[in-house]
Amino acid sequence: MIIKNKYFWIKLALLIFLIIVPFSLNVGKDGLETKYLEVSSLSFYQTETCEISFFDFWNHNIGNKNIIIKADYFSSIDCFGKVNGVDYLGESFNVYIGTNLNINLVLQSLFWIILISFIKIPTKDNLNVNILKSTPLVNILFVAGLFTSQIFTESKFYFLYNKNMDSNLGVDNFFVLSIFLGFLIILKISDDVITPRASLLLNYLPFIFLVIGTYSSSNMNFYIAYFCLLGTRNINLNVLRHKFTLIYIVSSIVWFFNQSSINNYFDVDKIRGFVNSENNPGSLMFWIIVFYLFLNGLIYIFNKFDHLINFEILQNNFLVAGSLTVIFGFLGTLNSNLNFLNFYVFGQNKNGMNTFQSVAGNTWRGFSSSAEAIGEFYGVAILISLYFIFKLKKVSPFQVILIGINFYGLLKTNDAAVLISIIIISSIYLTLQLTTSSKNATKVLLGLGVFIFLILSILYSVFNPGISRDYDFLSENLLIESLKNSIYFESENLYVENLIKNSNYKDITYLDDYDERLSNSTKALLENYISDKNIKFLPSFSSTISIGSSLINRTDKWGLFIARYNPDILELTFGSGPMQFNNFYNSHQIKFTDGLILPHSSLLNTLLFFGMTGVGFGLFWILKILFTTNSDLKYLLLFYILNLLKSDSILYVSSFILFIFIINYCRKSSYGVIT
Amino acid sequence: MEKNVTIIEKICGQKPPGTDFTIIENDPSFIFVPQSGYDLKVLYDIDGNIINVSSWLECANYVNGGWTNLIPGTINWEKNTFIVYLIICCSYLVKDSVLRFLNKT
Repeated sequence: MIIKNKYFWIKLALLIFLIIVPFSLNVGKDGLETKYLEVSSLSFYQTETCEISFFDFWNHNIGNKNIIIKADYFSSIDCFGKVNGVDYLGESFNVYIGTNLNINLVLQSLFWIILISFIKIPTKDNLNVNILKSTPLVNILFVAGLFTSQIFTESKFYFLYNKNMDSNLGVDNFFVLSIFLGFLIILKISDDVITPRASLLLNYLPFIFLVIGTYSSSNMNFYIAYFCLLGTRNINLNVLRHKFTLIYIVSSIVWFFNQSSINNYFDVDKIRGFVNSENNPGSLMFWIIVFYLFLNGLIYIFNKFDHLINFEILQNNFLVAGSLTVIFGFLGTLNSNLNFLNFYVFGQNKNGMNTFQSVAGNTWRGFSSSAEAIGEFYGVAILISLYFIFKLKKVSPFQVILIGINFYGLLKTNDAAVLISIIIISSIYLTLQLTTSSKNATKVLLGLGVFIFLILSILYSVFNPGISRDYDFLSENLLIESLKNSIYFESENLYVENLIKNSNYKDITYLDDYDERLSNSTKALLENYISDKNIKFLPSFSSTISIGSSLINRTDKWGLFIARYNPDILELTFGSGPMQFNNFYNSHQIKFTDGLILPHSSLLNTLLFFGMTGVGFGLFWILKILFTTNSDLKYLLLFYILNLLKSDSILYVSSFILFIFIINYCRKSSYGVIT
Repeated sequence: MEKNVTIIEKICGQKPPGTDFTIIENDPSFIFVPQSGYDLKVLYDIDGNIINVSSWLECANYVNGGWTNLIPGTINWEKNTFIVYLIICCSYLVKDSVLRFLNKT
């Protein structure tokens, strides 16, 4: 569908122009000569800031292995695309290239819109569809205004990321006025370019893992803005009267009333673009509206055009997009200049990795800000390919190469859960397909289940010699972890440590400060563990989660989550609202305070955002879809659910969109995969 | 200084009751005392020099002398960007109407 027409070369030239020119403008002092960066020229770069363009610097530093290029979010407009500072770190130099929100908003959007414009607009003749008409200007104005309001509702974030940030309301506040006009321009152009192609967008869905779409210096994402615009088109009486809308409105009221009065700042780090950075009613309102419109826009497009998906194109696009993330990740690792370009051009949440080595326990995540999220994506690409090889009994050499590249990417992410779930899902699918009767299939599945379990147990014992086989330890491991992360251990506490060492948890409940020092969830876990109501010879709820978390290597992360999660009854029931982490991170003091450690489970993230109501409805709905759908995509859904239980992928826009796509397709399951 | 009080209040905050400007106007070597509860403010002059002020009176004195809370040189960039975006936006929005009009004529 990407057809070379008379505009192809013009678009390509424009794309290259937009990448090169803004980062090549040297309008500094006359006679200033760019130098090779080394210790002797360090002072030159530290004094002559905002004078040398990025490409000029690159040109004079080819082969310089000691430089790490980073984006300077906090740059003024005139310093955009130029070297804005250099830090010497003993062995290497951090070189900061200026980026500015006013420019980023339009420039980055234009890259992405031009890329999408390479998809040919379908005609009525070849697809028999009604091409979406333009969105009314009033909707565009509303969405532009909504996204501009984030400058005010999350002002702490924007003050940190923007030098000329001005949160005053006034006609002379050109910072905000430019942002508004920037949104207006990109939304209008998006509507003119992307909306006519909306019917074919789903075939190109995998590319959202290549072009992430997060604006530099901002907490916003291009896809969210565009789908919010589409979401406004899908507001009608039926949608407003839908039970989910009504539950959402009721929940919103609770979130407002239950919001903590402390206005905290949340460091968004790698989940930038899809999370609230500040705790105040304005930002809560912003994310409630944005989340609703975003979801509404996604479902609108998925429902309207999912019958036009060509799964063979989709499969190839999964493989191509996956391979490109591996290749660009590689290039970014090999060359720091390319790493910066990756960050800016593809709108990454966080810089790609500069090394092939795993860092401090993290796996190589290459292009992505999350190893798990990109690992799951490679897993989906591989599963879809295996499915088509099985169904069509054919595979091209090119596809084999692409599968190999995706598999290599998956291995580098070190995501064992994805590998194991690919084996499990493939085995289930093949068993069901290859056995003649359902009775035989059940027998084979049972046999296969036992076999896989045994193999995994042996492999696990061999490759994880550190894991305990002691039932008592495993069953209280999670509890120990959450207690050790509590404020009891802010400094050495031999008394409580001895109680834990001797499994004397009952005595912990007798401590005077027990109620204040432990979170409600730690107390619930502890009290369940020592409860007399537990059935003998059966593991308690606490023990079951603890053993499970140990087996999937999540004890430390979930222990930290439990130590911190301190909800009251309303928060437990309804959560804190979409993309709200503030209450969770700031309402209860624990020992650990450094860095952003996420819950490491999308189920726990859902619990934080939507409470037990959201988790209950969500699980019921997904399981219902899983057991009633006829679509073969249910295997992909199962794969995703298994992995989301132990990853935070739902917090990344690309993974979120893919997950909603799979659920929605399975929900409308009247047709098989290959049509 | 009284005549500039609107601009001063916009930058320095509301004038504390009972503030007397004459004490600094009559004393060239007046020493400003930090005001408790007053958030430190950063002011800039036209050459890009920076000063931190720690009391409303000190802030008022500098603002009256032409200092401002906006970084010099960047105001125009923001404004210029705004103007460029405004032109792009207006041109883009009216382009279809203009094309239709041209086709008709």
